[in-house]
Parts: sequence; C-alpha cells; structure tokens
Amino acid sequence: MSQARRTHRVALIAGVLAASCAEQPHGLLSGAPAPPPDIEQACALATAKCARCHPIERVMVSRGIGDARWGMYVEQMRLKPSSGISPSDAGIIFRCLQFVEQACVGCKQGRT
Amino acid sequence: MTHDRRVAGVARQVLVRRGARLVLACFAALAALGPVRRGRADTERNFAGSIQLDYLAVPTESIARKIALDSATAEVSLKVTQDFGDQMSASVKLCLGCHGVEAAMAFFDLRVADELSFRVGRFTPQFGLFPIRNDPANHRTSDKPLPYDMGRMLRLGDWNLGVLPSPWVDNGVEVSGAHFFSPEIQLDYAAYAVGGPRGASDATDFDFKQSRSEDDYYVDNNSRPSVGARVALNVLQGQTTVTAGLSAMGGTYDPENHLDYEIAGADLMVQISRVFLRAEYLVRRTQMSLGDDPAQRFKYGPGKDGKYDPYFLKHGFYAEVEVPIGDRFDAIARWDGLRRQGNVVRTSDLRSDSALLRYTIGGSVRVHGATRIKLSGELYDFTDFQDEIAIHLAVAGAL
Repeated sequence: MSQARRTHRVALIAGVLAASCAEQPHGLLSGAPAPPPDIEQACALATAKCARCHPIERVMVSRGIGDARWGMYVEQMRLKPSSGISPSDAGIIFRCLQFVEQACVGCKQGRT
Repeated sequence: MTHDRRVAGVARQVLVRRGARLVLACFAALAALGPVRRGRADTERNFAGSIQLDYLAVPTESIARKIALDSATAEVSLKVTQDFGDQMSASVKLCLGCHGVEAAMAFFDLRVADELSFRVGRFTPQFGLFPIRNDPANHRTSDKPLPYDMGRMLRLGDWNLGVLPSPWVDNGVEVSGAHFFSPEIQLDYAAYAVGGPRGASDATDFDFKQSRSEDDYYVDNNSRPSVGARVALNVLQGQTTVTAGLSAMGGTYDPENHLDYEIAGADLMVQISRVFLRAEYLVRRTQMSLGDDPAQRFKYGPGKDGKYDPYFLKHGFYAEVEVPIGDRFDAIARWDGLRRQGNVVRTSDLRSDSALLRYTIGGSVRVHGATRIKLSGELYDFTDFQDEIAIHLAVAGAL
C-alpha cells in the first residue's frame, strides 16, 4: 500500500471517529417535540449512560410502562456494576425518561 | 375426633405459629435495614427479553459442522424482576440456547446501602467487563469475544471454548457495592462464593457440559465453593468515562478437590460519547490429572527435572472499537485471541504452545423498534490448523 493511500485511510478513520465522538447523542429524543434545554441535557446524559451496557432502543421499546416502573428501571440500572450512574445522575435520567414517556402519544400508559 | 387427628391439628397449629413468627422476623429484619424512600410504589414488576437468530457460514469449509456449531442458532431470554420496596428484589431469567432452556438468573438482591448488597441464588458472578453485556441484544456482534466464547467459535472442541465462557451461571452468594468518592470517581467491588467449574476425577480441563447437565445435578460437584472477587474504578467526566477493573476467581474443579484452577483478568473501557474502546485480558492456570501413566496419556514428555508439569495456561484477550455512524448504524472492529501453553493429551491436535488470532469487522443496523440486523466477518488465524473465514448474519431484538 502506498504511503499516500495509507495516509488517506488513517485520515478517513480518524475523521469518522472524531465525528462520532463529537456527535451529541440524541437517541432518546428521536421523534420527540422540541424539548426544553434542561431535558435535552438530561437526555444526552441518559443516552450516554444507558449506551454503556445496551443499545438505546431498548429504552424506547419500553415506553408506556409508567413513571413507577421507570423509577424501578433507573434504580436497577444505577445499581449495576460500573454503571457510572450516581444518585444525582439517576434523578436527571428519570426526568428525561418522564419526558420521553409523556412525549410518546401513541404509547398505551400503564401496560406491563 | 380421634387422638391422632387431635395431635395432627396441634402440630399444624404449632407449625403455622412458627411460620408466622419466621415471616414476621424476616419483615422485622428488612424493616430494620432502613426506611423505604417515598415516591415509588413499594412493589413493582418489570419484564424484559431478547431474541437473536444467527446464521453462521464458514465458506472455507465444505462441512463446517465438524469444527463449529454453524448454520442457524437461536438465543432467547425472558426476564422478570420484582421489586419488594427499595431494599429487596428478585429476578428470574430463562434462556434458550444451543443447550436448551436454562435458568440464567434466579436470585434475590438485598441492598443494605449502595456500598453493601447481597445476591443469593443462581446468577453470573462479577468477572470482567463483557458478562454484563452478554445478552445478544446488548452487544453488536452475533458472537462473543474469544476469552468468553461459549460455543460460537470455530474449533471449539479443540480449544474447549474460551477462558471463562459467558454467561457463567452458578449457584452461590455475592456481596457487592459501589461508592462515589466524588461525582467523578466511582469504585465498585464484588466478592462471591459459587459452585465453580466442574470436571471428572481424571480431568485435564473443565467439562462445561457438567455445569448444565441434569445427569450431574445443578449442585456443586466437590462440596467446596470457588471464590472470586472484582474491583473496578470508574472515572466519569461528562460523556466521557474510563473504567478499569481487576478480577480473580479460583478453587478446585474435580470431585475429590485435587485439581485446582485460578483465573485472573484485567479490563479497560473508554467511552467518549457513544464511541467505545474496550480491552480485556484473561489468563487461567488449570491443573491436569497426570493419571497412572503420564507417558501414555500426554503428547509431551517430562521436563528437565524428570517430572511432568501438571499445569497449563490459557490466555485470552480482545480489543474492540465500537463507533456509531448516524442514528441507526453501529460499526465494530475487534481483534481477539487465545493461547494455550502446556502439555496436551495424545489425542489433541494442539501443541504445547498453540495460538489463535481472530480479526472481526462488523456492523449492526437498527431496522425497526429495537430490532437490529447484525453482519460480521471473521478471519481465524490458527497456529495448528488452516486459517478459516466465518460470516455471521443475525436478527436480534429486545422485548
């Protein structure tokens, strides 16, 4: 492989990595109406924390379970090993999930 | 009423009273653990599950079944968690894999504080980074990194799987906790005693089938638990996290407690937003039974001291990078491997120092809801066999 081609490839990989690192995670707010800034920040934190262990869509498919069950989920996840979720983070993540829950007009509330 | 009936009635009343006292004592003990926080219902139940159907093709082999569990395999999991207030919960998870239906979880969690929790029942003890993501809906490739392989690797019989197949499910008790020294620093620990791996009296390695065989019962095979521990430090800064951990596990695995093993592991994960870099190294030292006539049993002779070395070392590692490209697609590149050092039985195709390196590139695209299509290609570089190519195509989703 020529030096120039190798340089191009390394630059391309570095560019993709840099773009992915800089990208604001917005998975939880996909399709939601324009959120207030504090919710946007809360959901960025929630997306980063949740993605440590599972794809963010695992959260999206659970919408409709109601606040009490979201509270239980957040607590379960906070207590997972190396969750990186502090008690104060848990409150912020819960606020995001409450917003996501309310924004889901098609979700049947309280389903199990 | 006859005398016998009267005696039976009195005995029943005594039993009921004793049972009631025991239940009250349990409630009193739980109540003494601390006040239940307000704002949540005391009893909640959550359900979760996942499905993966994977097709493994090995284009470099005409009949790959001789060296792999190829073609289509399904993995299904169904999990229910019940909260009993803030301090106690119970979880049950059923899994369907190549080996049939198994209970992957059946335990109680009792939490005194964030720094002190007890887990009792059937569970996966804390070892390394990967096992917490072992559910196929939680990781981006169809199969697992080689140190944790549980049957999807090529030449699984020759290598006897990875170093510690995941999920390692066992009966026992675990004490764990986490403490935030500051909003940026979290320290986790865990210590456990479980039944441990199993093997025959004249074993030269673990026999993983014994861990999930009705014939051998789901109980410890040698009346001695294996013990282990893990400690991990997490440094958190905004959407960037660095996690570094150390794990260890050891005990005996044969029915007479003559053959010992020790496993050690180190792991590192760096998360920058949704980009992940993960690396783990595991090593297992396993004692082999030399038998009455080692010269007939083993491929290699004794060492310079005239004695046979009864131990072999099995190393495993992986390093991977996971990069999201847009909102639907995740790309993953992984380099992993195994190395075995030590004597082998005469019938083995491995040598006294054998290695395997694997190079994987893959992607996972979200098609609908939590359903993803995973595609990955793997190049196997064996020191003792011809190189192979494997291709995985899977549909995986969460419920």
